Amino acid sequence: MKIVRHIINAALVLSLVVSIFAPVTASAARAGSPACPVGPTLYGRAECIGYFTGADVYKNGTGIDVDSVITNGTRSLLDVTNVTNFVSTMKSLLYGGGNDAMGAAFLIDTMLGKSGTSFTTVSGGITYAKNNFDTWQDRVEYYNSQGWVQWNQLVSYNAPFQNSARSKIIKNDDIFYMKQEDETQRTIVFSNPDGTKYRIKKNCGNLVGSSEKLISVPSYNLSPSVGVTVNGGATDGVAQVGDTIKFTYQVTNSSGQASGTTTCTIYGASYTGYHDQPDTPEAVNNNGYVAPGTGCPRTFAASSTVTLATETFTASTFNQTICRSLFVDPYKANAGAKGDETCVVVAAKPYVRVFGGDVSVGNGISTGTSTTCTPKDSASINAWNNGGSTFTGAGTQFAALALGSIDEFATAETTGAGGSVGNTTLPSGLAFSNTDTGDGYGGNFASLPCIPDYYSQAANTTAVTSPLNISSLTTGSYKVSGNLTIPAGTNAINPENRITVYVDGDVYIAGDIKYPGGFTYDKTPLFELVVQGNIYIAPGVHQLDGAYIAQQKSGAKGAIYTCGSAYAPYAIDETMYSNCNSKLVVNGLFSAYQVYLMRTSGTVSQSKTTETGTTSSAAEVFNYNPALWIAQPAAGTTTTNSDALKYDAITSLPPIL
Amino acid sequence: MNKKVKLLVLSIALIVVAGLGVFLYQRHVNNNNKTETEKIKYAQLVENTQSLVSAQKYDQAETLWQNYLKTDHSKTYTRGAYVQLATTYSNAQKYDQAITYYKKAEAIESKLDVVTGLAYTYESKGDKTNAIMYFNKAISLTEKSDDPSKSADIQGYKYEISQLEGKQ
Repeated sequence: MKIVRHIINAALVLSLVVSIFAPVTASAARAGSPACPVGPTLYGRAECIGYFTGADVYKNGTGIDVDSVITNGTRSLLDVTNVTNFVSTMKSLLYGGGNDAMGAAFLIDTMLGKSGTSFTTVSGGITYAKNNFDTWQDRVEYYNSQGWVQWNQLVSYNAPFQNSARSKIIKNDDIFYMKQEDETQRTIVFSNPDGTKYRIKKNCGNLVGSSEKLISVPSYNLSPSVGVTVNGGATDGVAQVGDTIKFTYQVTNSSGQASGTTTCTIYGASYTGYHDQPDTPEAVNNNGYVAPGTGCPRTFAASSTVTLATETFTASTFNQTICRSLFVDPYKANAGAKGDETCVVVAAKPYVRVFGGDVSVGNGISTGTSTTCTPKDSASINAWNNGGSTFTGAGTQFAALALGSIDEFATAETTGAGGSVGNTTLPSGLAFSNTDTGDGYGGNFASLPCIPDYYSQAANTTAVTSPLNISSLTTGSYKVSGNLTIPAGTNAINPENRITVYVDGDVYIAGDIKYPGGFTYDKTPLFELVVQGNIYIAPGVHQLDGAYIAQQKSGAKGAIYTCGSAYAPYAIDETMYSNCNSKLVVNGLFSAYQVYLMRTSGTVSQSKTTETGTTSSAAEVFNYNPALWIAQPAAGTTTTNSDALKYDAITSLPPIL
Repeated sequence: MNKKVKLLVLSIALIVVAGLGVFLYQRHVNNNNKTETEKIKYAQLVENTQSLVSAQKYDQAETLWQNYLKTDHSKTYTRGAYVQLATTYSNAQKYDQAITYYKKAEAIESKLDVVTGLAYTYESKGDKTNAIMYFNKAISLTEKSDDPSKSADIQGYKYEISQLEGKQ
């Protein structure tokens, strides 16, 4: 028996030793209340310690007695389904007073990360929540905009888990405590970027789990931009058919803080004619536009510029406006969308070519037989030229003389040469003056001779009336008092006929005026139209042979419009391109107070160094040729000598100007 | 028995008892460690899958729980996994699958998490009758619990019933 007793004693001693060294696995808790373990703290408060007051609400014997953080009648937050009614419900509760004001303040203050130790009273916490409600609302709305809130997530909680409640005994205050019952509840879940969460059970408004405060709203500022180049270079917003257009979509974050998740949307639209880009960027897609990928939604690093996409294509259709816009949403936290739009007009840049002659502007027009005149010093030539090394486009084979500027109009352009005539060089080799170094085309010549007063030379004229088919006329001078219409159809000038028509009024040319296809030098025809008024040329007119002169009358008119209707030019608007889209060849000259080159056929990008009057894509082509001066009558001459209108010999000597 | 024999027997007995004690203690520690490891693993899975659900990545969460259930676990964790998977399905609006897994958990043990899960799932599915039945079950279970917030919880379930019955 003694042995047995010894064995028992030894076992007891061993058991005691084992017990002493066994690890303590249970949490230290207040006796009888695992709901209130000692140790963990949330927002500065231990379990079962009042968040606002710091009061210990544990009562020996009975533990804690709690209710919902938010009662809200009986619905608590069960009716909350979105940010709007969450914010409005919380505001209503906060300002409604009573326990729910305390509950709302508890949630707002903890979501802002406020430690309970910074308060000593419930009213202090409520005041803090009211004073910082806007900040709280900004954060909640920001989380919502980022898709970081689930307003109705079903969550199964495994006991024991961290819970909160309103203590009803010892102190009316909100507390944290450990719930000992599994449950599945509808929950509002705020997900922080670091993976932590802030969770509120909707049936009671209790803050649940190890909820972490919401982060501050970042102060980023995004600016979208749509850039464009044409043929790889900067553009004034105009491209031509065949040009390569490249849109570049970028977003700049000018802030030192990274952005939140942002959506980016590219819109593309094209419009016939000119589209006036509005001040507010347009979110418009049309004509089956498919936007390039943007990689959004995405964030944008602090102080960064990111190229989202580029889009490159070849302009294929004239007379349209191509617009692209980029929107980022939100451009600031809790703000809306912001966009940028850029439009490119695919337009024709029609040009004029002069072969075999010169262009002169600024000459004064003498009156009567006077040899003096008043020049127009500001008279200039404005056209479109491709520049570069070939200077294809607008220009003349020979010289250009201007008292004002010469802008994109090359001289010494010659077929096939592409560089120079003799020792002249493009583009100002035959410009007067060619010392102007502004844009390289020359101009600002000192003086020019006067243009004779052709109309005053009318004599021995035969009166005719409108409409007048030129084919019906023979050699002689004719005069029309009032406006004249030269009708559609071919108005043929028969060989050897040398016709001058004086018009005291406006002229509307509705049909071609042509010399015959072939003639000998001694039967060279001539047509001169001398108008004291305006000349309007219908868009259906493709060829005018002869000299066309428009002078002012009493200081008015004197213009030639290459695209007009009966006694009026076509309007310069979106209809002009289609109305005037035809080529006009003038085998002769224009002389006028002002010349409006309105044809829209072709574009300067189509111009070639090898082009001729026939092959040129120019809208207006002038071929100054010997026919104009071989048949050189004295206007209104009365001679009866049949040889008076004939030359004995003709030769051409340099200079050719 | 002489004194030497007695001492020998006592020594042997002490060694046997000590060895037994050490064995039992080690087994206790191992069991505790195993349980603790599984508990941590389970808790992490709960946290991860709930985050996936918050991010509306339901498929990923479902897969994680389905994979978890392919291996052996204690009844407690198997039941818990059924509940979590069911809740994931419910959030994904796959209500019939949710109900199936809640029922599997219920078959192991009917507790508040299953009952409330079924109540909310039936409610979302539009099955008012079953939703009300399970909210009433939740009330019964809560009334029997020692939870200090049971009156508040019961109030919430009653509100849900009243909503379902169209009384408000």
